[in-house]
Amino acid sequence: MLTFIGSMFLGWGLGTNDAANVFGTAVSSRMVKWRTAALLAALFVVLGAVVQGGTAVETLTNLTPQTRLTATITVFAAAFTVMFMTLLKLPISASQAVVGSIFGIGLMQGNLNPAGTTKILLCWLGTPVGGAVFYIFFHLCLSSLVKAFKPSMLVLDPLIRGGLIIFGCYGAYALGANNVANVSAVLVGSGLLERQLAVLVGGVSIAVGILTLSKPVMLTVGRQIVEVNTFSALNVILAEAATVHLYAFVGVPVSTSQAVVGGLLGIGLLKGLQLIRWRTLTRVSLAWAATPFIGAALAMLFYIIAHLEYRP
Amino acid sequence: MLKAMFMFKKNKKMLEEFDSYLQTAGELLDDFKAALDYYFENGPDDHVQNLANEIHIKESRCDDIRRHIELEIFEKSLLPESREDIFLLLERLDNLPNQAEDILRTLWTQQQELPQDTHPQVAELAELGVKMFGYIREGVKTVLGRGESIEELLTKVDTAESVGDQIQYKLVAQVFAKDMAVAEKMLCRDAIREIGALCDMADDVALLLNIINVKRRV
Repeated sequence: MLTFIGSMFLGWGLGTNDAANVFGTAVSSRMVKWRTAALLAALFVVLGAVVQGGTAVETLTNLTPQTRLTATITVFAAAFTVMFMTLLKLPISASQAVVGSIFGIGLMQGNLNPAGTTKILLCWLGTPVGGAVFYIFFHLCLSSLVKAFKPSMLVLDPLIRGGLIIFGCYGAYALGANNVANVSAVLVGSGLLERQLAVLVGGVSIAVGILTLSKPVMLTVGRQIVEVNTFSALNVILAEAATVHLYAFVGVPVSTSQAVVGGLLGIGLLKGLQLIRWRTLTRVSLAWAATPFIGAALAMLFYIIAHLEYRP
Repeated sequence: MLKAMFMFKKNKKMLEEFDSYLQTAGELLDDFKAALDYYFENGPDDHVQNLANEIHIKESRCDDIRRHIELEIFEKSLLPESREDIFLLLERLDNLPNQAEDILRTLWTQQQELPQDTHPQVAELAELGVKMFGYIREGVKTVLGRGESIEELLTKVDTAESVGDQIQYKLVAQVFAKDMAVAEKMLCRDAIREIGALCDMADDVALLLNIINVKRRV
């Protein structure tokens, strides 16, 4: 029961935070009502989770065997990591917190899958790169179309607005497909639920998070690493969605925030590196690097505590 | 698809309202030029007030169209930065009809007579302001339209504004060289500056159009 509650709580937290990566721009600039964005995001997250969420679940369940006890430890270690980083007002990747916790369990049990671990680490490194590459690709394609057709402001603006909604839905689908593993993997690995049911339940928990408490995060215009206009923001959202979706096929849960940062770096690469706020980028990168270590450390600590025996 | 067509239709209506605003403002400035010509012929008589009233009707119509666009702008599917740009554009454009009305009212209420020998140059200055409005009218249509380059237009406006400044300075020097009371000279100077301000206001609009156009580049 504790494992289930912990997973649902993690899914809910993921929903409240990550929805901003797909619909934040559209909602905070009042192009889309929050209610519309939340409903669309919730729907497409569940769809993504059910249709394509299984691959990433399999990757995480194969990292290390889980019991109900270790599954509970994993979930709470991840949850505490997220809470700790949030209290420090640092950006957090739930994927890295969960995977870090699983690493910790695997290390304590001495049966961490090296191939799976390597695959995940490489994909994490590749996420911002993917974001940047996709951004450059989509920017070149879309800007070529705009330059060729020269639509008026009164035509281009509605097209961009429509694009934000469509790409936001795609981003939500990719979020569900890729990140549901963070919620569902421990449920499957510990034998609590079958995979299909686990991804549905996981998707719904993320959707509930989006529908309940995503508004403040979506409405907040966060400090960016690069100043963006709406056209660039559109490309960033599309690049993020494509990157995360790609890794859903690969079967590795990645951070949507990292994919967004990769997209923003793509802007810097195209328009000039002097636009990048390097201090912010360094701070964010260090936080991400620390997250799996903190998750692993907490999981190992909880594991030790859980296995302590009283010997009078 | 229907919603998309509806959005485009709403935006098209806004473009038509903008056209209507520019048309009305253009007519107002033409009327202003004609009123000024009458003033030069006949001095600040009661008919000048009638002409100012007629201009006021057009100026009110401009205000109504502007308010309507501003109220409706949030119903359109424009991006936030586009909305801000349009608000600012309307605000700066509206300075010209307001200024034209103020000039005529001031000339009539102060019963002001500009020196006879300054009339041709003052008329030229006013004509320049009206001509510059014509340039920026085309600029607005281009920027709200396909967003093509307005470099040539900006050069024309810039050149005209410089010419306007030169005319203004010469006129003021001419007035102050005359044997008139200082107070009268100052009133004449102010009137000349107010007419010259039409050129400056048109230049402000042109600068804003340039910024809007640059921002739209992808």
